[in-house]
Amino acid sequence: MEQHQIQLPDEYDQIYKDLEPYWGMDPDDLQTIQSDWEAHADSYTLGKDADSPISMVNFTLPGNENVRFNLAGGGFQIIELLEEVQDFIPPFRAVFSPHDNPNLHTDFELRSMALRAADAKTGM
Amino acid sequence: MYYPRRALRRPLVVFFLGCVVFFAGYLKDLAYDSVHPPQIEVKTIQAPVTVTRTRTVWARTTQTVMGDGSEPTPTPADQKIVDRTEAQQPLQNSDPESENLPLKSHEYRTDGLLEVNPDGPHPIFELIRHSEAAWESKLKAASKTLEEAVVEYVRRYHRPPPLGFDDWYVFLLHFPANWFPMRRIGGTMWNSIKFNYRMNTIRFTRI
Repeated sequence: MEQHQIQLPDEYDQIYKDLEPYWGMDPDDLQTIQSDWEAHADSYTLGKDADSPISMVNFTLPGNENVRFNLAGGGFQIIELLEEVQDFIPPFRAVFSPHDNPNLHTDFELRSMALRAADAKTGM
Repeated sequence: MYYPRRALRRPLVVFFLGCVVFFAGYLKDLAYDSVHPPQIEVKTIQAPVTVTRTRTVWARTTQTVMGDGSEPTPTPADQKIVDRTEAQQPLQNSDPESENLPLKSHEYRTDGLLEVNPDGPHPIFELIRHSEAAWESKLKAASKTLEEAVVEYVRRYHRPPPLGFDDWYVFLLHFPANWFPMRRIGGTMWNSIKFNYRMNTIRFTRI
């Protein structure tokens, strides 16, 4: 590891911090919420099955073809970015918005509830 | 000689007179211009400007005039200083030693800030030393094998590492550094910055 100058193989604090609230949520709930969001206006869903490449598995975009490709452009860039490592990524479905505004808001109370539930290893 | 026909004479005279009246205006202009040639004064920024810069230099010279011996004659102000050093004499043996007093240490507060003691050395040296030591110990304590990494992960995050952690670790072990995506992204950014920098330099030298 040292000869390749890759350091700190144990540091995942930020990733863990970002994911921690989701450990406190029921996986079934999470999946329902996720599939509901696939119908959100101006969104596209990237995903993969067990042994298929990553692709655009769903989208809710305007009918005009030019606008549609414009808005989905970022999705194709993500697919391109993950092409090299897609065999290592487990099956997933992820909804993306082409816009730069936040759609999901949370607050301190919700977040601390999720963190407490994650700590107790029980659903929220 | 053949004169123009009588029917043409009147239109020609009218035309000729019209020309005279018309051009007379221009003739007048020409006469006027020749008398008053245009003298347009245009102020340009290239006009020579004389700027006088005045700078006053103050210099102060201190001269010590010795009396008969080597001791300077004490003034009332000097007398005060002498008195103070004498008052400190019992506590401190001599003046040079007071300059070599051990430097005071800074205070590391619990909120992570450093409270600087003005009687201490500049804190940056101490901070660099501490950070380098912490970095070295972190590198030394880093896990060297997958098993160690898993144990460390469970210790830190209280749950087993995620699916694919073994693949990730193999990747860390075996892939060359320049494959690492962060480095590639960093390289791309660096190249674009270099390009901008070069462009700016060209523009700058041209200006």
